Amino acid sequence: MELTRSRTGLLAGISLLAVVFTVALTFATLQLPVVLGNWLSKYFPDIHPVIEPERVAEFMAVARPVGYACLAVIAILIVAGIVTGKRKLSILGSLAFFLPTFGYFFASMFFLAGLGILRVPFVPFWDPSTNLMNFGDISYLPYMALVYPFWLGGIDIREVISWLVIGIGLFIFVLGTITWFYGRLQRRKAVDFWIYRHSRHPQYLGFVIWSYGVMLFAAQQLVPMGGSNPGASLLWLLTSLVIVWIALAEENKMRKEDREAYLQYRAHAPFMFRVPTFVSAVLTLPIKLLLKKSRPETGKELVATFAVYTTLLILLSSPFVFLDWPPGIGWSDWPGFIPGLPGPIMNL
Amino acid sequence: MSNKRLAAILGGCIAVIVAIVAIAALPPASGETDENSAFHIDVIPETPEDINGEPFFKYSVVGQHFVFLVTITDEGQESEVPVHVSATAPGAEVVIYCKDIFEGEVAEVVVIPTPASIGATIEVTITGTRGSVTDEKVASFEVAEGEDDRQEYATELLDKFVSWLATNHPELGITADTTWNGTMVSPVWLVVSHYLFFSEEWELHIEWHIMVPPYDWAKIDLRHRFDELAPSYAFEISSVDAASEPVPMEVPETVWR
Repeated sequence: MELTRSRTGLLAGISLLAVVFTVALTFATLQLPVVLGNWLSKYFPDIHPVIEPERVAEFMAVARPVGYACLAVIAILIVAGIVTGKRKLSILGSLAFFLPTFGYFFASMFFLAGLGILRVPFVPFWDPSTNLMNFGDISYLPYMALVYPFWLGGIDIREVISWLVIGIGLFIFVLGTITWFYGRLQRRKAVDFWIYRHSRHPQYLGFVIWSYGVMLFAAQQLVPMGGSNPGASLLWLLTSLVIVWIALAEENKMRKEDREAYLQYRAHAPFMFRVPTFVSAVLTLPIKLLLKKSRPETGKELVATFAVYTTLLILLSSPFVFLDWPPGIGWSDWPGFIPGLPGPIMNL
Repeated sequence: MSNKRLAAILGGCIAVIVAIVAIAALPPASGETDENSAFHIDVIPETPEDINGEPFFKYSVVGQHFVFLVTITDEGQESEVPVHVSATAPGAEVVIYCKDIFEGEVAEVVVIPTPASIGATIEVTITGTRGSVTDEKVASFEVAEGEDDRQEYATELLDKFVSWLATNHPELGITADTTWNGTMVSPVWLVVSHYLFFSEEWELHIEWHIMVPPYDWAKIDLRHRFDELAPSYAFEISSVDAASEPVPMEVPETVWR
């Protein structure tokens, strides 16, 4: 489509608006937890786990059932949304499932102090004897591939990468939202222009990328008193899988409503983002083996797909758990303390 | 997709996940049971020290907190069961911080002499227990007459270092609001005086040279409690009277007692 001058101006204006929102939201992502954490620490003060183990035990006696209840409510929200087709419930559940990741932003000796109280739904996963939280560690693969070569060259890009990923995610999300609203204002039947030409679900894609950056930033936080940071990879993995599930369910609905228009749109725009054919073939191989087709089309097929991918990703993450890798104090310290010198703090 | 096939897929997935988590939760295979695996304990400081065949005791005064650092070393495979540390010291009160420790962790046994023990030797028996396995170490120190007359000046010096640390080393987490509990140490040392402060996270040893400027230096070293046996940071003010800024200095290899 040839762009007219007014259309180019509109696009430029919207892009600028998206950049402004992105900067503001990135700042909010990093600063709001600090402000909120300081405020919450008045109500949930830090407890020294070594000096006051009795107080920790006392607190956990209350926190444990609350944690299980929160987790049950979140699971019910996600499942209810999928079963009833009310996707807002599932999205709310996914957000609530991911929200505790911000608890890592607050440095405290007791993991539920201050903003750490957000982690109360994590309590069922917070078992040091099994490292349950690390059963999503395969998610760090892209991070490792990016960080390690720079590290060997003496450059530490860990924090920068997190900020960048958070910013990119928010930019895509904001651009998707503005495009969607613009399409609604123009009373278009389907929003299939601008960023929607490059991703059929830019808002979900933006959320997944943003939450990945938040997860990385959370994993990098040091824990006082020589504690280790288990990271939040499992939570990110499960939240992202639920988001993909919701996106697939939406597409099935769209296909039922207007099959021809949907198929035409699908032929031109990728699901989340464009990937090389061989990567796409590898990623969809389990679905093809399971369903003998390239995508799940019914509710049952969606459930089966979600279960199989969750299991596969947990299986792929299990070497991290069994080998207790990274060594030392975990991801907050990987690949080392001094750029150019691989190895955790404990080995220096 | 039939309900039967979906149930089979879900059942298979759940079985795989449960199996992986169960394997991860299994204790490591070893000949001896984990709760009875052998270990030995080490205690710092060694007192009395053996100097030329003669026992050399460290001194304390009534009310001083004599802090022993206790660690354990697993003799076989690293155990998942902690060692419980206990201690007895007739003639003194005993407080133990971090009673259950794994290898790499540090328990603190604090022995506080009572007035009745002036002139006596306090014998401290520190015992580690894991299941049916125990190990113990005995340490002794003497109680001299005297009182804590250094706290005021030590606190004055501490404030100088703390305000500087809060600004220049925020990564240590030491701020103006950090609470410190002080105790006398090495009461018989005179030209160089020593004092220990403890926050929830740090042990701070402060020493100062009782001398005219510019030889009136003050130094601190910091040990991270419960996971370090020796200091990891040290700073020095070259002259207190000249209000010199603290600068990093070589970190001592051992804690001061």
